[in-house]
Amino acid sequence: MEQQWILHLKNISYNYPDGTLALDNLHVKIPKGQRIVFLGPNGSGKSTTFLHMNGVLKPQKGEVYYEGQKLSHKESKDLWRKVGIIFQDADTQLFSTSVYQEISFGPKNLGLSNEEVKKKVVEAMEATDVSKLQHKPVHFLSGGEKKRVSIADILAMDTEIILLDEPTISLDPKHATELMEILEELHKKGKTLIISTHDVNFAYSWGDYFYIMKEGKVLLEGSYQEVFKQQTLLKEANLEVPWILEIYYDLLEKGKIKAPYPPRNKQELLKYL
Amino acid sequence: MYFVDHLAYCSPLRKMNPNQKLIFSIANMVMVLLATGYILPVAVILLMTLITITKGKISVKNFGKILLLPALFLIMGIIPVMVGLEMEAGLKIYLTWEGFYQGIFLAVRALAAIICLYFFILTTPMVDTLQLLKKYRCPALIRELMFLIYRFIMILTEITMKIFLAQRCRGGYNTIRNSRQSLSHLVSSLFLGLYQRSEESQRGLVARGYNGEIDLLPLEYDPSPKVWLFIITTQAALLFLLMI
Repeated sequence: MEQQWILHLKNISYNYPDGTLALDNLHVKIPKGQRIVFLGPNGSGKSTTFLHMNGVLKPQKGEVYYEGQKLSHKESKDLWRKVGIIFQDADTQLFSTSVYQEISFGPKNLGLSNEEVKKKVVEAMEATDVSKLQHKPVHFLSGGEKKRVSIADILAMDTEIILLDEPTISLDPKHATELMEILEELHKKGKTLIISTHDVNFAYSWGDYFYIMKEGKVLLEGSYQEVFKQQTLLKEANLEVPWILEIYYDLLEKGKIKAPYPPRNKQELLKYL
Repeated sequence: MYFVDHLAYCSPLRKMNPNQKLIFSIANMVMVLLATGYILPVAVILLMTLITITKGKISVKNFGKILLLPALFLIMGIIPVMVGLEMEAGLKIYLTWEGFYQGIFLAVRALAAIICLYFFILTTPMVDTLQLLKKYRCPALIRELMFLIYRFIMILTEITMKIFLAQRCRGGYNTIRNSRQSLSHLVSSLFLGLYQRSEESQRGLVARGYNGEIDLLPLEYDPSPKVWLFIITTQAALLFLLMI
């Protein structure tokens, strides 16, 4: 099958200054326009992988390709124009004194005119429900508000790829649902979305393509049918099996249902019953 | 600093054009420095205090609190002016009426100038100040240093409060001995935390294309003609006070 890879990390290795090997000959291909999930325990190298995709970290070994083009060191410096990253800890990302100016930082760096920047900032603020906070200094915001501003930061840049490092962790259910709606819209627009998470249940029903990481390597990759079959490998990465699948297999074993395909979400499971 | 910026952020005068505030405050300051008598500095003290408290909605208590810090410097500063020293034939310390009046006059003028400045900083958050500096062509290096220092003071306070809270929750600072230990832990983890934080912050900036200069959308404030009128009238009145 001819698949269009938008981003390709080839044989990447990365050592942190203290000597820990964060990425070990990592090989990752990102299909364009899909929803990709990185699953893996803490310290498995998900965040480091993201920083390589965005060009903040330079691979010590290996190569990065964007749309099939191999990037030189200089070119990978410009990767941020194509790949936006929403950090796990919003404080890492937020720096400015007012929310409005904070969000303008990325688009300004893209070299847009002030009018265009303003338009993007206003749109991003509306999408993330932070318009009311626009004149507030960043350090007066609550954790969830900071998170939403950090999402607006990247939405305003309108990048082809958006990386979200543990996005739902400090959001309340209402804003988590809203984030999912934003992501759905971005997906419809053809953006490539990449999420790292521990939440197997969410990942299972959301993702198109999965990477399971462990100790700086890809342990397992593929579509949901391929990946979640491998229950022993999942266990090896300290991941649970999604509860929907667990129930499905249990029911299948007892002969209570005869559905050939595993259900993706609660609705599908209920339909089978 | 956190406190001052918070007050400025909450003040209704924040919405006033920062440039007008700056001009008003500096014009008053110049008048005070030109003054030769008491009337003008006292008038400025009253005017600026009144505006800051009634229009700027800064409570008298907070205003007094913030004035305490420069007041201490002021007192220390006027003592050498008031007191005379004589070294011939043994050490003599004396106080003359002339020196005393000179000291008081100096103090009143300095206080008036400080209050002018306070009017500005208590109604203008750091963001606006930085933007004004840009408008007046202050070099980018100085502006960005100011901005980073400001931001890091905020982060420093935040991390300190977090560590302090974490320590208190587990019985830190409950005895004198324990306080000393807790404090030493706090300081060391603060430095480590800050170092890590600055690395992370750098990454966060680079991820959105930081290349050495922070370029943001300017905030917009329309100057109000009413305020210009007010500034001109008060300056005319002060000029009149200066003449007499």
